[in-house]
Amino acid sequence: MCEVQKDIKFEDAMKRLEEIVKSLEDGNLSLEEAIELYEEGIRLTKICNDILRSVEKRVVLIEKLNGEYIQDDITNDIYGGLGQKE
Amino acid sequence: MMINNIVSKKEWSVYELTSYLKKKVEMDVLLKNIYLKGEVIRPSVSGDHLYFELKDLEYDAKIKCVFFWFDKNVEIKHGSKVLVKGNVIFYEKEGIIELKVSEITDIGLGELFVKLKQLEEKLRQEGLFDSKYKKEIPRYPKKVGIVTSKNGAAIRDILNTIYTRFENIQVYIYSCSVQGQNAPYEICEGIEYFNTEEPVEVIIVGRGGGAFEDLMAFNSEMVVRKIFESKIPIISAVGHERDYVLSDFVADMRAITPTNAGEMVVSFQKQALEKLIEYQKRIKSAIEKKFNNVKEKVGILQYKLYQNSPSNTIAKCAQDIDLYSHKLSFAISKKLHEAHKNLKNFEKRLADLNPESRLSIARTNFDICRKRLGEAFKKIFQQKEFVYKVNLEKLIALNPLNVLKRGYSITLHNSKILTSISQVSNGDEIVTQLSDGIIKSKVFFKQKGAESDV
Repeated sequence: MCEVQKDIKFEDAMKRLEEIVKSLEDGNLSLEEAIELYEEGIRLTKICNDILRSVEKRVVLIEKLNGEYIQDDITNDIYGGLGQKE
Repeated sequence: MMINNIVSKKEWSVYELTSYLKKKVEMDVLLKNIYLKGEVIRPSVSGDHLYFELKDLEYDAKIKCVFFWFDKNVEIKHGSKVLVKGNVIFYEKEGIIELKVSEITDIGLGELFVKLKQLEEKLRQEGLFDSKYKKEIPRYPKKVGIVTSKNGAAIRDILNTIYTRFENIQVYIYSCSVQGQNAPYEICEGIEYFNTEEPVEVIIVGRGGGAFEDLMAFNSEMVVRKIFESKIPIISAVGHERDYVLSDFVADMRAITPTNAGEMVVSFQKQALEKLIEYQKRIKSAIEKKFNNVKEKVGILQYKLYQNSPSNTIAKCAQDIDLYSHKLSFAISKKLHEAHKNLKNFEKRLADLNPESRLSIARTNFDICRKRLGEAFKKIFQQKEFVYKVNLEKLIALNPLNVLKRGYSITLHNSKILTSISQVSNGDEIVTQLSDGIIKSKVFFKQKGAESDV
């Protein structure tokens, strides 16, 4: 459920960002308002960017061998880790 | 008769052979109106006719079939199990034997299929496929679990799809067999593993395409129930679009292919990232535009202010003054110039009227006149001289002295020449001038009359 929460937060941020972009582009703002919105927008893009890029690429292969789960990080060698025999 | 001909010959023409075979095949009563059971391979419709191959259900054997003017309402698909009725014919142009079909019956609902339908019905009644149980697939998962074979094509498709679109995501692959006896157990173990050992946000369960039997693990009751029980949302991604398995019905989302499942877990993130980049650009350009607008406005105000500033007014006045003074000095110099010109003019005129010249003219005239006067005088003088000389000669001739010499004298009284006796009285001293001197005498007598009497 924590994930859903995060999703909602992220989507709200994106929605707010879209509003900001539109009002900034409308151009009917005072300079102070525009700067304020701009700063909020930049803050939001950073937050969203951080959320989107919060993890690094990682590929892990899990196999059960003799009743034990073996995890193998194959991030740097995906196609070595994944054979092609059907 | 023909057969006899052929037997006696050593060489056959192709036509002779095909004609022979055609007769052989088509005259055989055993090959008429036969029923044939098999699987339809690559059906294709051309005009009103249906062409396909019929594959044996057990062995590797095929025969070409053609169904002229077939009923198009009957749907014949690749892989359909059918029972066909027809005659075996020999098609000379291709040199092949084929079945000319007159009837076709779908017998695809085999035993396995019937069982599957029953299971599907049972599970549906239990509510396992109800949409109310469907969990939402997270739109921005950071950690994805995949239950499939590490050796299958599906895993590569999924990984390629994910990572060409979006990099910031972690994928945990639980490798299991996806066909064969153990497959259902291993698939269930994979789902269990993610639910208990390695929590992920979404699980993809699937495999690549295969024959109907190959996909059976995803139709097994235990897999369907395991998917239903999973606390983590599950995407079912089995085979191709046309393949339907029970895991598709029970899963929270069905992907038509493994590739499609990969798209599902990253499409929102990819879009969001693109949007984010776009928004960033637009925000920046909007604020820049705003700044530029303000800058422009300030510039205009500044300009106006400057236009109306005292220093500018002064400068303008100074400029005006400059202009006027320039005009003025121009006018003055023009006037001066004119005056100067007039002056020159007058000077010239004045020079023309110089008395000196008149004087010189007058002098010239004077000289001329003097000359003329001189000449005239000279002339007159010469004339007079001439007259004089004449007169002189005359005079010389008339000189009283000369007269005296000749005996004449002049008598004077009181220095006055006496011309009459009345001028003297007796006793008056008189002087008589002769040619060689004088004689003083006293008058003692006088008498009027002729001198010759004296």
